[in-house]
Amino acid sequence: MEIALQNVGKQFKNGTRALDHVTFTVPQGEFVSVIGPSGAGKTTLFRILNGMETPGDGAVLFDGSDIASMSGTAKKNVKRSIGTIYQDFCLVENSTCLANVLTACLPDMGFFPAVFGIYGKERRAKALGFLDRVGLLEKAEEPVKKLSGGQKQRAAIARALMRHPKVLLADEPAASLDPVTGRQILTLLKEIQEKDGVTILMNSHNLEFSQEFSDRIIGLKDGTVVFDGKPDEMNDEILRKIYHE
Amino acid sequence: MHSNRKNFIKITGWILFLLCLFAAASFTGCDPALFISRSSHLSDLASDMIRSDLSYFPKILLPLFYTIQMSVTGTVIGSALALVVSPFGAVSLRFPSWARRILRLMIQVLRSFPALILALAATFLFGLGTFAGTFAITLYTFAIMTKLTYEDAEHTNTAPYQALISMGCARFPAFIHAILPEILPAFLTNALYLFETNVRHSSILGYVGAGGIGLILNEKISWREFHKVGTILLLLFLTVCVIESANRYFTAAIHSGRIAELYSVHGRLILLGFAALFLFCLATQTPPDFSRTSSAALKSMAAGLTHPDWAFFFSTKKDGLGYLLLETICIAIVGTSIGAVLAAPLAFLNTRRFVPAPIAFLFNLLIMAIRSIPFLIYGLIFIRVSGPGAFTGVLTLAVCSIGLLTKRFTECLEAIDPGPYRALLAMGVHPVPAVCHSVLPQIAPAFFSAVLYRFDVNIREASVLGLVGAGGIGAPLIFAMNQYDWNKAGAILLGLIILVWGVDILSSRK
Repeated sequence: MEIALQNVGKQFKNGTRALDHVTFTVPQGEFVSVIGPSGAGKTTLFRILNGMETPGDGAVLFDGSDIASMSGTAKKNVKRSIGTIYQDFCLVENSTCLANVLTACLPDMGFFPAVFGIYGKERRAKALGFLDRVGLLEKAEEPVKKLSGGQKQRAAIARALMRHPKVLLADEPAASLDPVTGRQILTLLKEIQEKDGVTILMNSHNLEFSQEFSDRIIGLKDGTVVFDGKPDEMNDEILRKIYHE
Repeated sequence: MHSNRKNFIKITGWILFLLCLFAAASFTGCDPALFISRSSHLSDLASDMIRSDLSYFPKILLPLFYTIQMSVTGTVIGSALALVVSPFGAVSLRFPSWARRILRLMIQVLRSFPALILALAATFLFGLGTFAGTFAITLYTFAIMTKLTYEDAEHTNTAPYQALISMGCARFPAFIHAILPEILPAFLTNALYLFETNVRHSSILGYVGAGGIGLILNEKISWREFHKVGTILLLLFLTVCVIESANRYFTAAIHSGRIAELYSVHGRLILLGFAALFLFCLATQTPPDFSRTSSAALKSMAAGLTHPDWAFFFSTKKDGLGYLLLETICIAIVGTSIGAVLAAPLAFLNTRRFVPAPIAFLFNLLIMAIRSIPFLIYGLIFIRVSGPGAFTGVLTLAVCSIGLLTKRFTECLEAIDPGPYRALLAMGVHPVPAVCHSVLPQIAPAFFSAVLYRFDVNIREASVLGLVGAGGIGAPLIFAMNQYDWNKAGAILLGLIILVWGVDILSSRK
């Protein structure tokens, strides 16, 4: 799935202009890092992409069609093909790893099976498979609150993978982890990109990781794109442009 | 300068409060001299009850079962219903706002009525018997559990919930899977606590003909067979002891995170036991008796309740609503204050942190005994000492407040950091000043909020004291209901709703 942003802008009610004429296209299977100082609009961009915010102006196109003019089913299909992992994991702490991964199936289930959590054998087996893949199989029955930060992020990745996403939005996936664990998580994401051809769109504060793992870096400053290119094109001058006055 | 001003406000506040207290005390006719001069009646009564008639024991078992049956069924159904509707009440879960407003209004109205009034109303619908009692307990539990649960849901982290919603999950399943696991321990603790409260509540429901142990309790008190009253109270005490220790075990299990073990064999056995108990209680329910409910009677009830007696509502005379509500408030203020003053020292004697274990154990038993006696029974007992009137209401609420506030205070004391207190002791400070300087500052806010909460409860309980002639709004309310004077009952209920609402607003300000 190709994602295209055309002149996307977003202004909040209090007057802050979070995004301004943002335009870029991400082809299927690319690993893109979005970098920029705090308040540059990275989070707003992500919230627009996973549907928690709507763009004020401009258009977000998925495979050429505008999300705003899509029908309910088409919109649901797009939503289904986008998985999100968060900086603070967004896991249910008191539930087990397996239960958390299985919650990814809820949107596709009927009301009563969803309420009572009747997932069936097939989904369970699939969830265990993904937990195995992220290296958490033996923790499947542990409550999430007993896991370390890195393990939690792995569980969150397994949850995102349950939906067979074409795109994985990663909102600062390594920000609450130590450098070693953070590197392991990014390696896992890179592997998912390479093996499954999933597009990874990552928000990051960690420049070193962004340069090492991504195919492309987009620099945001005050809601506008100030850099869009390969990691090796990045230099001190561009960095100054992104992070300083 | 700033701290001077703060001190000034503090002192003025206390003086105002004491003035209010004395005004309320004289308004309710509090007379310690009368109490002391007639206290021999109390000791006679007590000695009669202590020499309880054990041969009466077997006859109590069936009514006791009905009481427990009402509590189990009511608590389970009420809590389950509360769980289903509570997400609609939480702001942070973004359910439609009209649903939230309706739900909150409904809960506020329901919460204004004590279980006894609900039971009395239920007897008009379902006839006399345990079904009316169960219905009342269900409603009462539903109202409290819904409020507690949506408040918990609001305070929990909603990020996982939002994440599920953004994936396209419907709100209710998202609530079940992302919010419920986080609030389940608190939910279960509340439900267990409420179960215990319900056993005590349902033991007086017999008073209005809603079945259970209250029926014979009331009978034996009016026949002055205090030996038998003693037996009933002893059994009730034992029951509450058993329930409380079971509660303590389960609460500890819930909080130590062993709740996940519910999936284990041991946990499943416990769950199965609970389910079997509930189903048994449900299956043995006596069905409602509709033989005496007619649609005409229901119509006149609905018409009356929706057309309150405004002349009575706005009357400023001594038998008007305003005066009666004021009396109810005064009873609650004085009762709560006396209870709080007595409960504070008792709380220190009640925990092993401050006194040796055997003393703490003795006081534990004493407090549990105080708590296991339903408050209406205190009313019936005190009325023999201080005669009918508001003073009896004050005494009754004071004793009830001692029981519950001591428990609350003790919990606060056990939750604080003992470090500063030990440090002062180690420096050679006498325990009493050490408590004043290291413990009191830590617990003052918690004590204060417990007292406010108790005041809130007492206002509602004070409204049923009238049932035994202990003053306040209860007597006219129950007379009106029993005489089918629904216009007057409607006016009183409306007054109660406004009163409780006002107290809620005041206590949330502080």
